[in-house]
Amino acid sequence: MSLQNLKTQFDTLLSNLNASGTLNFASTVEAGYEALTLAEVMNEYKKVYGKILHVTTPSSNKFLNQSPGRFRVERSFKIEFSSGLVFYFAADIEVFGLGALREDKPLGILFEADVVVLSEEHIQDILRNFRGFPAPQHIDSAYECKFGQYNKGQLRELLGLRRHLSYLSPSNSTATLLFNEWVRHSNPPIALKMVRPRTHIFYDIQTAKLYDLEQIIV
Amino acid sequence: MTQETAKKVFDILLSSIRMNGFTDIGTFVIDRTAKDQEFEEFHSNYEYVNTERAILNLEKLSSNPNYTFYALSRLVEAGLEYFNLASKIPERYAFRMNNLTSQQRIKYKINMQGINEETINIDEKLRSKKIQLVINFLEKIRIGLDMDDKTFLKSF
Repeated sequence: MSLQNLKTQFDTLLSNLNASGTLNFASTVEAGYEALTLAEVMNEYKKVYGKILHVTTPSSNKFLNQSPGRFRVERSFKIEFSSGLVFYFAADIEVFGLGALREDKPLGILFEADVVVLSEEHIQDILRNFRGFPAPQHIDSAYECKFGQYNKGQLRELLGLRRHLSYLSPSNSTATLLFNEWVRHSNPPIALKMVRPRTHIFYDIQTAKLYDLEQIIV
Repeated sequence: MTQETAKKVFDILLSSIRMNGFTDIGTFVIDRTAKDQEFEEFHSNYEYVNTERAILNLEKLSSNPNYTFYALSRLVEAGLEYFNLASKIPERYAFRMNNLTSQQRIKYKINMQGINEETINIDEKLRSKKIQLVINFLEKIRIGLDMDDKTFLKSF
């Protein structure tokens, strides 16, 4: 084979990966990685909250959305733990910020979160009074998933999401230890993590600690 | 493989990667662990090596005859890591889902709701044999690094 043929062969192999459907390969991987993260987060809650009594799965296994939007019960996983606690795990949800917390109303702009965990006690409030978009008072933990691209903007995005969701002040948090870290400086005490397949420099580690931000590997 | 051929192969791979939108591979070129000082301190010349920068650095390195093989090898390994990890997502997802309860094993699938309400089968796309073909191709290049040019080209 000539080098020219080698090029043609590699070109063809890569273009075939993008050939079918509405999503290119890179976007497909990012979507799949969100699903994997969701499953990992559910397993972490199992570690923390103990035995699972029942898992309700989304209809048609459809829980990822090409465009983020409202929380919907039928597009999320519901897990009942033996302790009596019940959580919903959802992907691609838009969430209100601190204004909505302060006024206890659906106010202000929405930020997207890749994976969100909500306690069952807040579900009716979210659906009835917040048009299906959770506000900080409803959120137990949130996760940003990045499989492929790595850039500075993503770190700023995570920092922005933290300030959208929580005040920076010492927390009397009884929030559960998730992925070996407590939430110490954020109110409401929402656990917020960046999820990647391998470690990368996570901006100034001291600042990250102040904002209760960390990176986990899935 | 001669250095001249290694450089040509490097350029071929990188141009295809760019043309077909696979520059995410560059993220897997970035060093796994940062230097301690860089990780722990925030100093004036602190620099993020992002995905695009990692690729540009590698391209520059490939033009130096002393580092051409190193650059090609790094690019191939990054590609293999990217595609291997991506192709294992459905299996890892199903394993974790089954790990939640001790009930009967279920074949969990990953579906996505598209903008026009259609179902996009993420699971199927990531289990596709087309990914394995790319992995096989990159593995042949990895082996070819230690071959003479003729044997290398014959191996395809």
